[in-house]
Amino acid sequence: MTQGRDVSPAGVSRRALLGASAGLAAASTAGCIQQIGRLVGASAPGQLSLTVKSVPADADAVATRMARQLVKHLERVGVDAQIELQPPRELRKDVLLDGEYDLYVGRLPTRADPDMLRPLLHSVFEGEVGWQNPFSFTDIAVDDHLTAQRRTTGVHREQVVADLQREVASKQPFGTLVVPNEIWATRTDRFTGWNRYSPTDPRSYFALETRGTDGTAEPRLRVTTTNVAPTRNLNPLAVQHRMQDSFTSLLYDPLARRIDGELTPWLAQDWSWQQAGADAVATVQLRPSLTWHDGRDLTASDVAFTHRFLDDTLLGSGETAAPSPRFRGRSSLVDEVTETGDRTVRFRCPDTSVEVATRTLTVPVLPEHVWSQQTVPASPAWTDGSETTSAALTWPNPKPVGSGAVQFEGRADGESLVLTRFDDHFLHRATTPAVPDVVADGLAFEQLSVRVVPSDHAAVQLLSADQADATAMRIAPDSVPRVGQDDGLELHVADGRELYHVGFNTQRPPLGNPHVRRAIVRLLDKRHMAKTIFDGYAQPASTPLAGTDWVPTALRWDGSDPEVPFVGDDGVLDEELARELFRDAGLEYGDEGRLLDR
Amino acid sequence: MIPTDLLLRLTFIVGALLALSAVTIVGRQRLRRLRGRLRGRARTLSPYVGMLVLVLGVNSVARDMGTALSWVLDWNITGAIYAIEGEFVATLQAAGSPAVTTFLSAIYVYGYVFLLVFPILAYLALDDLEPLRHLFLAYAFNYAIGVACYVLFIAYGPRNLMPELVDSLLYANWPRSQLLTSAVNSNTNVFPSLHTSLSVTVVLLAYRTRRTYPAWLALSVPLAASVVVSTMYLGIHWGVDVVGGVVLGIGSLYLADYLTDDGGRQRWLERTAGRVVAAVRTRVQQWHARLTDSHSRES
Repeated sequence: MTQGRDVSPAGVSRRALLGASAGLAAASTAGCIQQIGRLVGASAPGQLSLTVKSVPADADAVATRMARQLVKHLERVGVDAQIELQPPRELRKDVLLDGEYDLYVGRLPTRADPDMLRPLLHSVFEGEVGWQNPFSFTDIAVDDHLTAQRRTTGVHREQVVADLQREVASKQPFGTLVVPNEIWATRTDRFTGWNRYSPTDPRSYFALETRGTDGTAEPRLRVTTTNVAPTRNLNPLAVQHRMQDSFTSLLYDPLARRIDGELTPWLAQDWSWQQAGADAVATVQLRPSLTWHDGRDLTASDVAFTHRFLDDTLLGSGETAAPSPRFRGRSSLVDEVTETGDRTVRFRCPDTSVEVATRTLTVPVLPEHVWSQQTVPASPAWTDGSETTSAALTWPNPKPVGSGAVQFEGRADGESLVLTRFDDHFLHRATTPAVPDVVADGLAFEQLSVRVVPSDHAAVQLLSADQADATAMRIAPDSVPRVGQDDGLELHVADGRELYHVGFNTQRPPLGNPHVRRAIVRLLDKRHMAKTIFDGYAQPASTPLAGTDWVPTALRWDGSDPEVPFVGDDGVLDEELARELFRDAGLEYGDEGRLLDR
Repeated sequence: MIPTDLLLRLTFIVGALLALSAVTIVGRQRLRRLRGRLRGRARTLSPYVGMLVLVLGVNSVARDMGTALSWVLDWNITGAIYAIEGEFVATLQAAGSPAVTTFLSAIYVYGYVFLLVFPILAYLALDDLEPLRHLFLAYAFNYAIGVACYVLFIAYGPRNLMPELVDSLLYANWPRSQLLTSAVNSNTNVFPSLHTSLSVTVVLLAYRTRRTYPAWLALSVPLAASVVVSTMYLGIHWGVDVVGGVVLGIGSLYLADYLTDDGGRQRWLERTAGRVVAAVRTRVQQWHARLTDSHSRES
């Protein structure tokens, strides 16, 4: 909970509503606990007060530690700073749905293409839910670059993306911290091929082969996760429950998957893209006789529906559109999908280069006969009741019907999820289609059972006890030695796909001031954090695209951050210099070195 | 899903401790006499046992709902607790050693369960059933009030707030124990410490029955003290949680006294409890069916 003045009117009424509906006077407790907090925190009136939200150590200890580090250094420069821990579900609700935060420390989902920055930072996405500009950042120069990179290709696009990154690094709408390595542990006795992809990547399951030589599928692959979400909610659109979730990606196939750097036809058999003036236009042909898990045919109609539906999950029945908060960047590229035959569809992406437009083929295809039932307005828990969104976004999708290589079998709330091999999948039929070798054999197991564990340590111990084959999530660096102690286990380390960052709510003063944001980021020694908090299993990040080929030379990490270097040395803050930064940003200091809130 | 081998180990170790202490502290003579009395005593005590079972039942059914409700109320006191005591738990932990960790981990899991179960057996073997009535009532109050606090307050323990200073010693050294504890409780339920409050209740009753069981007082005091220290040393609870636990432990026994120190009140209590337990028993099946149904719809 943050200070009262920062709670928006909508936030207050939402609280009151929820409290009243639960029969509890929740609203009144908010002010009360703030007073207690102020009392014990002994904050003076007029002092700048900031709350840093993050998750508890049980959920992600490295995030907790970075948030603590930030709070300690904010206190050192005179801010009345506190940390507030929330489980990931609640943190995402506050940040991605309600905009109720000052700062948070968390992860950004996979950064596959620079176009992912468009929904994240473009001002047209401000006010949308999900990873659509959760910072409420608005900047014309950034907008222009984001629009330009969508239109361009090749070297020209590289140049635009470099300019974009310079602009973003200078304005710090969010502070990039580190790119963590993907670390995971597996048993060595039953399956091989674990090191091809990281476990959060759905493709990793196709790369597995059984250790046995007889070629028959192993009955069961057992993986662990510390994330309870897949046992409770399997809605691929539910942004509050999903970050990297390989399970819904396995349940719902896209038209194309990126394999070995190449966009590979998946549900699609073939496609052709053309640049028609400013627009990119594609004709996509589906594979023959595709079916959904419930036996119905998957047709061009489903593909066309999916894009209409992602664009507005109410399909026009609401006063305003309710776009899906997930896949928004990709779905926003398309303005028209027409079914031109039973197995052919035509895509049109206005003002988009073919290079960028091809990304739209990687969104999951949804069955029309299931999701068209969910296009009615609903009042979700995250609004004050005046807002409505679509039932499709709040629906937990308890028995998912997809077309992926696995189908839903069962689940136990908070404990487990069981998926089975879908024998009617195109990869599992007698004639193998033309796909890269790594996936050509389909899945090497009959059943995928996912077990929720309370911690990474517990996961490693289950692996040692032969009660699991692999961790399906990135494990924390402090579990690494435990994996090394067991000869039957193998440790895998790969380049990271996620990005730890500190997000700023630019609508809350003084965080709208880019100089203040820069000063705050400069309180953090990214190199030192990568070394101490991650035991070296992370690389400091100077731009949102760190760790990709898109980083221009001027922004490469060079011993320190080229744009917002740490004020201090080896993790030790230079307090005087740091205070000077905040003075230069236009803030003032009061009695006893308190930074004032104006 | 608690691994069965963990449960078996817990049952075996606590069972062995109980058998040993039953023979040495309660004595063969009392145990022999108890055998003939069991059936009658079960009837006399049924309102109290029923009440405790009811509280525990509601607790386990409502645990998920309670956590969800906590986040609707969103009364997060972790920051306030930290502001009061700061890094006290980290200091305590720094004073430890691997041997201390092993000892206190065992105390936290096995010692605690033994501490709670033994008095039931010991007081059942007494001629006077008052201590046992007090024990059951006080346990019920501890749980009922404790769980109400868990719904009201969200608080993460020291290990979740300061992972760089406070190790999750129990789970780091014995990761699978977390499969057990996480099945019983959520990590936001730390204020107050029920480990502390129930231990305090047990010790207070041990003091009252010191004439009959002097050895139990001598054993329960250091055991309870170790349980209390272990909750903080293992990084699970704050000092504030422990203080809250002490208050709850004393308060629960006071409430139990109040309800039984007058014949009229006690009869009223037993009658009411008997009725409530009976009413609940008849409805529990239908209620459970409805609950699981709505639960699967929600999730």
